[in-house]
Amino acid sequence: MTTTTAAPAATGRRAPRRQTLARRQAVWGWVFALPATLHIALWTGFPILVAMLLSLTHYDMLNPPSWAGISNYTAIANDPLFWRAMWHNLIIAAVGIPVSMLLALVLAVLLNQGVRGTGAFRTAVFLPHVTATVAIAMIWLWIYSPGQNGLLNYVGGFLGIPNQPFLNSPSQALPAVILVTIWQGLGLKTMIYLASLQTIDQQLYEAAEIDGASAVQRFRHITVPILAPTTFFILVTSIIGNFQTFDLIYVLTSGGPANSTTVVTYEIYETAFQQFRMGLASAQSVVLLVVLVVLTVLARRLTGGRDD
Amino acid sequence: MTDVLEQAEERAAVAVDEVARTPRRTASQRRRTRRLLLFVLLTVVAVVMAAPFLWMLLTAVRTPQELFAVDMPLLPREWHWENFSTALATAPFLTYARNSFVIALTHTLSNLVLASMAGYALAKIRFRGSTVVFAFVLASMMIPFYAIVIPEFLMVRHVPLAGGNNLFGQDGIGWIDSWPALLVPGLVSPFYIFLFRQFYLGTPTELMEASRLDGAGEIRIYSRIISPLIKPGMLTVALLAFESGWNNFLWPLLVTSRSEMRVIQLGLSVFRQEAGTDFNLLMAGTAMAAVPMIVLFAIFQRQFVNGMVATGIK
Amino acid sequence: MELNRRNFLTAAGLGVGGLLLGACGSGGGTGGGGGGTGRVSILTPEFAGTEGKETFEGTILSGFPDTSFAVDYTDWNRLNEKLSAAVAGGVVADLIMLGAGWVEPFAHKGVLAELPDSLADGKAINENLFKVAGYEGTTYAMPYFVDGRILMYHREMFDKAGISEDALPTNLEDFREMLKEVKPDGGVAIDLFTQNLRQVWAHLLGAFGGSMFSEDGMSVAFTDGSGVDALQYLLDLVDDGTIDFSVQGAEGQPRPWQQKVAAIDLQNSSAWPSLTEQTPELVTPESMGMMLLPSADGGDPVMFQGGTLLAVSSRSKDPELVQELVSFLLEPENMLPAVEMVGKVPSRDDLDDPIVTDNLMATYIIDNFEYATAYEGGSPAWMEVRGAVEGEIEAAVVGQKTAAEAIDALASLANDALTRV
Repeated sequence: MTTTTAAPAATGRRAPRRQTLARRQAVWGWVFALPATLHIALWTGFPILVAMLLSLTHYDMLNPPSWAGISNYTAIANDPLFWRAMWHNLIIAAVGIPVSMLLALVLAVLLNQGVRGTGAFRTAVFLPHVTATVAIAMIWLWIYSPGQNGLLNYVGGFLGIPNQPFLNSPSQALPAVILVTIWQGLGLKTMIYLASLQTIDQQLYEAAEIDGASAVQRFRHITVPILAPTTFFILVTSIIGNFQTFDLIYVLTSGGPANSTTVVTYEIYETAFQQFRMGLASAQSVVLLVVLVVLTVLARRLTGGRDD
Repeated sequence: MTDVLEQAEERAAVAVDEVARTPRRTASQRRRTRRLLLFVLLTVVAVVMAAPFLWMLLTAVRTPQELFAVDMPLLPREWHWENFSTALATAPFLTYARNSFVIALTHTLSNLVLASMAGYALAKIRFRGSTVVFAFVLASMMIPFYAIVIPEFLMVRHVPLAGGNNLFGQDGIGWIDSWPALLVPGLVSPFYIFLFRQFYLGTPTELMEASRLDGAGEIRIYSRIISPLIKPGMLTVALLAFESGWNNFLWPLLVTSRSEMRVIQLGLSVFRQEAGTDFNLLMAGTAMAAVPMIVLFAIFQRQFVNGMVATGIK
Repeated sequence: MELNRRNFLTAAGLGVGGLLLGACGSGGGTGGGGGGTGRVSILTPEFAGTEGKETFEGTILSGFPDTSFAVDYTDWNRLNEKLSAAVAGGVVADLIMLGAGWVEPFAHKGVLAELPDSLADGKAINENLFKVAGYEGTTYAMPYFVDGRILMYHREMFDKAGISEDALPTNLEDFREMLKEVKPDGGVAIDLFTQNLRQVWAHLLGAFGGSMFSEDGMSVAFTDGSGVDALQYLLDLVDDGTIDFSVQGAEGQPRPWQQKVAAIDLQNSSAWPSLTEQTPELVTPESMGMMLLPSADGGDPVMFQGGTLLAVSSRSKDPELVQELVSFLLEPENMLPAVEMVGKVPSRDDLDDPIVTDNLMATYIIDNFEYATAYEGGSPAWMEVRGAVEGEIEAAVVGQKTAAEAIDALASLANDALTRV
């Protein structure tokens, strides 16, 4: 989109003005950014530092920490369950994110057409986002219930399909969970796309229409490219958010059956507050941080780094 | 002779008319069909998205016996609307709602101001260290809350000169069980900084320079000239921040002990006991808790109207 | 637009500022008030809600002289986070109500204060209930509410299969055969999976005469064969077709037993209030029968116990006062309103009041306290092992591992955890 103006190399006469501008920008940049940055540095950054330090200790929260060196990290390397959880996260991300992003984009465009009742439609899409995750999980427990009282099996009964175990089957549970995460995350992504769509100049569409472009062509050649930065944003935040999923898994499956739906945050929670091994949990969080950084860099490559 | 000519003329005119009229009719028919298809499609989507919520409402008005009966019908046999008032009476929900509202409102306003400033700076101002700040903001989103909750708790507990603490933060309880603990840590969230940066990236820098040449100060450029251009972005952040504050759960649980300080989500957990879950009351409570958010969204989404945002370049 | 925004921001700024100022003024301090010479803070997962608070503070605590109370009602799901944050921050409550299985680890980590044995004098609490209340020979908690796990069955299904109440199986082999007979068409004989599988295995472990850890809690005891036997029994039942992993209830959903898909349910006594509310017709003396899980060799049957216990924090400023409070709470006149509110089984077996006697499950369980020999935990290492048990058992049940492999995996986890004790 629009680029920030680079301060060109200073030439003789104009040097003072550009330099003043650069310095002025530096000052104002910090003036605007400082309050928020300081706040986050204090309330998130500092705890993260503490967590990193704790990752080198044995800490059960009930007694002061004791030094552990890198033994927590070696323990993680030898823990197949942790990597299994990581693998599940990757699967959920690889399947869930592209699907939900595409759906969200299409949905946002549809919700932007000014159809009658658009307000109601938009609100309906946003409903899962504002409803407490615990309640959502319980409704889906009903939908997925393995007996005839579950919605899917009830409908399946009419179609002659035998009762499916869904969340009680190690093979069906993860796909079932992925479906719920897609459904739940759709509202937020759609909303962000919708907001971004508002800034696209309508004249671009009108000109294209006059030139004979179809709706699909307009979508592919105008909407998608202009929204590329937004897409990058949603991709990165979706990846990060995906790895933070906890409440849903906790109520839906508790990581089971037979650890087939456990995810990294669930393992971290287990380690921290069921096993009371906060040092190890901190180390796991650091590992997660590294993985997410790598994924974010990959995501940037994927969208061509087009975020300016 | 003239009659034949006139008739021919008339017939020709009718023919031309028909030809002229036909494309228009087909075009508007096409448009109407497309509108109809769109409407149907959106209805299907809306049903899929809203169905669980509707089921929640249906569950809320049932009796426990009906919920656990073998042959529970789709629609409740009797509509027990009093479940809503029963749910409300089970815990001091009005107090909880007030608290949740305060938290939500405070966090919304603080993020709208502070996060937008930071997002603006990261997007539009070239300053040394902006990459570091941005990387830092991103990284701080990548640690799960469970890993930093204990250090954060300890910080809140050891705030110097608060809650009976001395200068070194000892001997008292700090901000535990008081408003600052609930409000302060969440004043700015990295997600919104990132989101604001995204929205600000789409605004025209030329406008900024033009305004500078006109003699406008930086603050004025930020608040009066550029920020109004991202009104949908502002609304988005406002709605998201409000929802997040409203649905806060774990942090308020940890830092409060008195029920006067508790929030809605904590209140809802009263329906989930170790012995069993009061499904119908829980659904009633959850539905009620979601209503303010739904109303807010329904009102503000109207602002998302195409073309309302001018590019601003004169 | 600009005007709106500016006004908005100004109002906001004033609002937030005022809020913070006001908050600073009233910051800190808990509860307060009440002319009392003593102050006791309590952390409890029970008594949630307005009615619960009324009962606990209004009815019960108000009878304790000269003391003001600050009660923190916490979601039972989040008790661990709450407790660890509180201990880490040094703001832990004086009286802590915690679940069975947590006493040993917390006592080992120095969170709980020792309790004198005399505290139990005259309280009519069965010896067996103290199995989950001590560590290294010292008592660290007092049983308050008991969760007993028994088998409930539909009389009509048993009648149909010709099983009479006087001829119930007394060992696990006969039990296994009986299951084949009472299994309804298209259903399962017994629902063992809605309940927490970790505890189901612990229950069976007890039935096979085993226990999780040794007396001193420092070594693994289920590797003597009882662990494998218990798990193998489950697998055998799956093979028989009398239990099915996909027949399970979920939160908010009816249990298979309530839908008559299962003939027997391994049920927890704390579920009684829900059962009477949801399917009252199924839990009358005429429609429902109760029995205990037989032991493998035909000896005493086995009842699994869990429950809520009262413990005193090791950092309490006035432990004697808190001990008095514990004693106070265990008095009959104070336990009855609690039991009525919470609907659980009291630890005292001498409460002769309709509140208890009308509760069929509670009465049955109290009558069978002497068989409450199965429980989970028994070692400080239990904290670390606990989370892994369900995964291993489930893996065996769904056929991913053999019983021996699963138990071996558990044993190595437990041994690893013990090295860190």
